[in-house]
Amino acid sequence: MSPAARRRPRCAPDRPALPVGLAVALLLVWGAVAHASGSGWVQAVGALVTGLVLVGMLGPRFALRRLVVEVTDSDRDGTAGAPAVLELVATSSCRVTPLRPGGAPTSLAARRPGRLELAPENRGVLSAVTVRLSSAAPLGLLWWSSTRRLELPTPLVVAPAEEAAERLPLAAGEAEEAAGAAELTDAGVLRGVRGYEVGDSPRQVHWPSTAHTGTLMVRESETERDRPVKVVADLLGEVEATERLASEAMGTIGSLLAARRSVILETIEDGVVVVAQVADARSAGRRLARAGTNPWADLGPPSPGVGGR
Amino acid sequence: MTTLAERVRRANAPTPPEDSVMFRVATTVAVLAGILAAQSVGELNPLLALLATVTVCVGMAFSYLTRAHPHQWVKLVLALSVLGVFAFFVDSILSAAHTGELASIEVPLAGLFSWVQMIHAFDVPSRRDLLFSLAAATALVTIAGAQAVSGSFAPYVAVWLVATLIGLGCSWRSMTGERRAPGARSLLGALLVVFLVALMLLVVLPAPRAARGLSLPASLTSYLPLVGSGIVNGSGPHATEPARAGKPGGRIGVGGYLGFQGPLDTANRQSLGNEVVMRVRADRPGYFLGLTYDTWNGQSWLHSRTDRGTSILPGGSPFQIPARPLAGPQGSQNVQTFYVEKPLPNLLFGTSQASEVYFPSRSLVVGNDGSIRTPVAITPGTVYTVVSVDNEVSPATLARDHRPIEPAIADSPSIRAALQLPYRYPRVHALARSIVRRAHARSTEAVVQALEGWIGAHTHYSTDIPPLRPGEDAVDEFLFGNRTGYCEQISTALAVMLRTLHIPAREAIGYVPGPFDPLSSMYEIQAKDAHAWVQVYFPGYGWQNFDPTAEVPLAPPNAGMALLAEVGRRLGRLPWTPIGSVAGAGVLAAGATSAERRRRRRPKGWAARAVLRLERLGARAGEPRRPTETLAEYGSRLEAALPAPHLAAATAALERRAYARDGGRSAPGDADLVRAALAAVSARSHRLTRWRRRAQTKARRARS
Repeated sequence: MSPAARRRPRCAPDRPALPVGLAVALLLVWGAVAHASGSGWVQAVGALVTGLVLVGMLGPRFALRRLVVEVTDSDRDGTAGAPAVLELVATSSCRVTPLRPGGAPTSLAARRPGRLELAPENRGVLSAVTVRLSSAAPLGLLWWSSTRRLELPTPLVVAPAEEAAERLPLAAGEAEEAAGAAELTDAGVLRGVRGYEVGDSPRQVHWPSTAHTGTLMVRESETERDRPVKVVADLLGEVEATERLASEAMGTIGSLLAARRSVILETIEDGVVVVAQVADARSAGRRLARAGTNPWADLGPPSPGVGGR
Repeated sequence: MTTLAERVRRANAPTPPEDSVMFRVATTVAVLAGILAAQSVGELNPLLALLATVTVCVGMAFSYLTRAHPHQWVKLVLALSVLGVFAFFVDSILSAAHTGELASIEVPLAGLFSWVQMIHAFDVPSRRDLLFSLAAATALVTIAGAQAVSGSFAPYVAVWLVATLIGLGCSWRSMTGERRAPGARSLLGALLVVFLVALMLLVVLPAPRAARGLSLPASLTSYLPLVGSGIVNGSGPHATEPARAGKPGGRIGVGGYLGFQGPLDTANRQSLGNEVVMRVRADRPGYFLGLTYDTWNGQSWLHSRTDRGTSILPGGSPFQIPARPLAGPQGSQNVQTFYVEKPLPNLLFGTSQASEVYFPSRSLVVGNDGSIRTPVAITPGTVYTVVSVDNEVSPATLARDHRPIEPAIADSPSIRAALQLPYRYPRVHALARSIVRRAHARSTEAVVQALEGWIGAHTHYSTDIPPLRPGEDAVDEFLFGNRTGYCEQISTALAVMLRTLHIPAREAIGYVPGPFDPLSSMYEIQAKDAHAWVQVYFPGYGWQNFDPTAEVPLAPPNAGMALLAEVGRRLGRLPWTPIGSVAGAGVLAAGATSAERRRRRRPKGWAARAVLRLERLGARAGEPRRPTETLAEYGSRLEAALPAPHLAAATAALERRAYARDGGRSAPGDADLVRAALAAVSARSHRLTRWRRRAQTKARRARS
């Protein structure tokens, strides 16, 4: 194991000036009273109070170094700006504040599952999160904190938020077709399945889907005339600009899918151009989350021995 | 930018109610420990302590019940009450300010904190309020600690510490929203660390010296005026009763050292106990001198006519004590505060030369013998402070000095009295001269050292010595008789030997510092620490202390008796009341737990009890129930083995009762059947047991 991996996380007290100053002043007064009154018992009680204060102020450091927090479960999909939930377990009581991505702080009881709500502001794929763990154990006199990176059991794919596109980034020559509605027919290329509606032909029933969902499903086809709309999402570049583009693309795809148009999305994922049809908004979101520059790439996979400890 | 009003409003904004019962109980216990600690050292009167105890418990219960919706009118009433209590406290301080004593502030302060705790207990809905109670309890324990002088304070501190630790642990749990109580392991670990840190600090920090912050302590618990300027022993049935003369050969009870009463009769046999008679907080330990004797008559030390005179010091505390004649140079100050535990003679003790005395009386009597006597009885609880100016000089300095005594001083009554002898003591003189000659001692200091060395090498220390026969000289008997004695015989022998060599010496008596208590920073003087030593006059340096007893080895003791005495002494010093209370509570709790456990384990219903009894009887008859056996099978086997009639039917009835689907209703007559069967099994089992025993006895006899 490398020295970096073996290194313990750094802990620091939270705003220590006031409590430490108060404690020192209190103990000085105590000593002065002991020596002015000449009482050994005052000194003894003062020594015990000093012990309590020291345990209360330095204890959290040791508690924090021994603290292990693990993410036991997490949402697979999320949307930028909407909360995503992680389930955590800690070896001792502590407070967890998500730093990257941000979110609401939460308190964890020892060895009991707790929920941490993240609010990722950008799309992307999160394989770890950065949190601040705080503890004041065992006496609650002073909080100490350390920053940790927690590995997620499964990556959290954060889709961009849907935003109405001002200008549809369609591929050249397909603008007119994109504006037209697809004609659904009984014959032609299979587009998908949908729920049975009165008037549908029994021949159109798609039995595998029916068996799978438990409700009657029918095949939906489209004619050759219904040509898919190709959306090209070039999300390489600055984070802010690409975020806006991704949101617009998501909005476009959402509106196209709502209009029952088939959409082909072209993205660059991990340096490879991927051109594929998207079936629904979720798959479009996943594709857009993986596309281009990952804003959460710096979190990356955690170093062995450090993540979660 | 937030305004002050907004900050105040924010600080007083209601916080979530605290639901942890353990946190509340721990806080209550810490508060009660503080109140009882203050009562134990006399800072709270028992009635107020009882009121505070009850009120705090009731208030805490009230706060717990109303924690979710605290009443605003309660807050208003409590705030007004606190203001009233604070006004009363300020008034008490101002009225007591002229005395300048520490106790005059501590007592109202303890009262203030107790009242605040009582009032505050009714408005403790949240964690923040409970933490305030814990802090106030800590302050109360500290205030009580300022007046604590013995180890009996330790149980209160221990209870407060544990309760505070549990309270803080619960507070931390509450911060994280955890409802469970803090783990015993983590609390024990924290307690251990706190204890170790405190121990290290106590080792490293200098022990507090006698109080100088305000005025030096002095107080009386009762004012019993004495008649005359004599010394009253303080060990009689009444503190003002004059001392009784000791009887040679008679043994004297604990604490009643008669040497202070005068004369100091060396024929008396002392049997002083280990009761603590005084506690002393001193800058430096030393010989706490009570008085000196200058005239020896062969059996007793007396005061000469010059020594007997007294003078009255008027004016009230603090008293400036005039320097004694031939006192020598003045060294550094030594402040000593004495806390009296047992009735004592009306003598004030102090190292070397007392220069200032803090004692709450209008006058003091100073004797020419150096004693300081009080016009009131010294009863338990009396506190006084003596500021001494030490004149002790190092042995090396004394050894270098060969100055003769100036003629004017040599003719002074004090020196003449310090050379007085009732007769010539030829044997003692010869012995002393031979010792000095052998040691080639030239200076006075060397002579004293040589004589001390000889006494150390040739005598033994023991308090168990035979009585002095009538007309016998105590020094002759000690030096040429059994050579065993205690401080009186040993110091008298040295003084007389020095006098035979024309070196002025006198007998000094007082107390030596007992064991040092590191917690209270006090020397615990026990009755057996009463001591006699020798003061030798050195020109230019005055009277210097020499303790020949320190050189004398102990006579071979009785190991068993010494062990028993030590065990008794240690047991006697334990704080039995708190230990008894805790042990009693523990025994009650254990008894209750055990009874509850037994109640839970006891089979429910007559059928289950009958099954248990049947199994026991069967086992006694040598037929225990097998784990794989049903009750009916066991009944059948037992019926055949014993034999016991109707047992199979009875066990079938029991089984019906135990496993029937209708809840185990038994048929009429089942109980009678089972009872009869069990009686039969019991009779058969007894018979079998008796038969077996008889057979075993016969077999043993046959073998032998």
